[in-house]
Amino acid sequence: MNDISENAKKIWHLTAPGVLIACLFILNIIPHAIPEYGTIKPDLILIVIFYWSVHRPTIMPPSISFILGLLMDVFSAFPLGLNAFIFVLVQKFISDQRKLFLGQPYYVLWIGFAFICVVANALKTAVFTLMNNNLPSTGEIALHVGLTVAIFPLITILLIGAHKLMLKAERRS
Amino acid sequence: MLVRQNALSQSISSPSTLSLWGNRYASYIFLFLAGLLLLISSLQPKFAEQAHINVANITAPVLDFASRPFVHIANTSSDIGRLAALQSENARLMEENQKLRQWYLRALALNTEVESLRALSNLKVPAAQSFVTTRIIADPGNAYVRSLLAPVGTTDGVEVQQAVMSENGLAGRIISTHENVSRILLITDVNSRIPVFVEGARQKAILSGQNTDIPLLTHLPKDIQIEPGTLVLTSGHGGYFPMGLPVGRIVVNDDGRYGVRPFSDLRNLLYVRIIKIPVDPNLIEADLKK
Repeated sequence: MNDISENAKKIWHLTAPGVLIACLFILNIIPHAIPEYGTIKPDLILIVIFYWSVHRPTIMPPSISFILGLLMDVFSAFPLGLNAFIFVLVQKFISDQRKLFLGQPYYVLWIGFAFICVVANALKTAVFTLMNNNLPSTGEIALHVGLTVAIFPLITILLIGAHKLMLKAERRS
Repeated sequence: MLVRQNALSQSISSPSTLSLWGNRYASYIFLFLAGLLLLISSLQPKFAEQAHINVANITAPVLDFASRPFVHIANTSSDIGRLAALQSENARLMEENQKLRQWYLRALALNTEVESLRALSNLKVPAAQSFVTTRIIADPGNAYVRSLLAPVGTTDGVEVQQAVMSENGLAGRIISTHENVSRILLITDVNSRIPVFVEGARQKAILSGQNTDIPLLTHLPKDIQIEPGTLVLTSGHGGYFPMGLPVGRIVVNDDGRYGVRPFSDLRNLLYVRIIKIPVDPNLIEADLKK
């Protein structure tokens, strides 16, 4: 009996990052009844991709980034491939440069993410402007970027929690 | 937190972790694939939209199921928020109910008058509109796209171009549909064009979304003067929308152009109604054999 509960615990610990990614993905696309929240939803998945690309690229390989981006495109009516392209690009860039962030104080990670968030949204804006001949509201994009950067610490606390659970299970096995 | 972050980073930056990382060309392959999809999306939007809705059709039931707890939490938190304002809300509703009762009596009188006038003119009235009410399962909520995903499709009688209403007014139209899922383009999206009628000025126009909260009225005569606050309704031109659905009220933008403030709160839609268009009995089918 103890073995079963121990194994269940271990499975939960190992799958915690995946479960968290799924929860954040759903949270990012479902409608909310919070006033004024609708148009300024933060990009939680970008945070997830950034975090895992720095700390554990095996959890966020290009294939997973691509699938998450593609699903985001489908559910959010983005041009097919746009988020997929941006997510894979961020994953590639960050995992190549991860040594810059490892061992650095937290604020370096935060500033790095802010830079990535601005560049990713600038790229999205450029593609949208080209495809629709109409510049999206820059004020709302700035608000979206600001909120994503502001919520970064909160999401990283959850990611660090899931990461620790996984490390604990890995050490035990 | 800083110390913890450092410790965590150090603990996983060993070379063995890097060696597990997989194919170094995988990123380039997926970047190429995503770029190719993006190119197809821009060159063949209809194909891309069909691909969108096909994938959404397969995955929507899973999302619908998985999102239920979150929607329940959102609804509960919103209900708790409303509890605080319950007393003032009740007073407002009682006052509103009193006004509505007066309007109800007036509507009954007008209805009798309309019925008798219709009988006099022998007008064939289209059957009453039917509708499907549905929950919203995906709302991108960003500055780029204003569209929603609903878990109803062709099996529920939903068709492309049908009007979508919130509890207050027009919200958008169906742009693609599959068996179990439909995509709604909101009237504020930059690709939205709706034929409307400005009631006070008796003027037809096109309501063009701008990806802002206020869509613009286009194709208006140059020197037209419209009072802010004038009611805007759907004109029914094009045959897809019923005539007379409430859209919003006129506002004048800083640049002097006319916009419409929608009655619907398009930022917080949780449930919508999709209006099915009945066949107009006044239409006479052409005899192409002659």
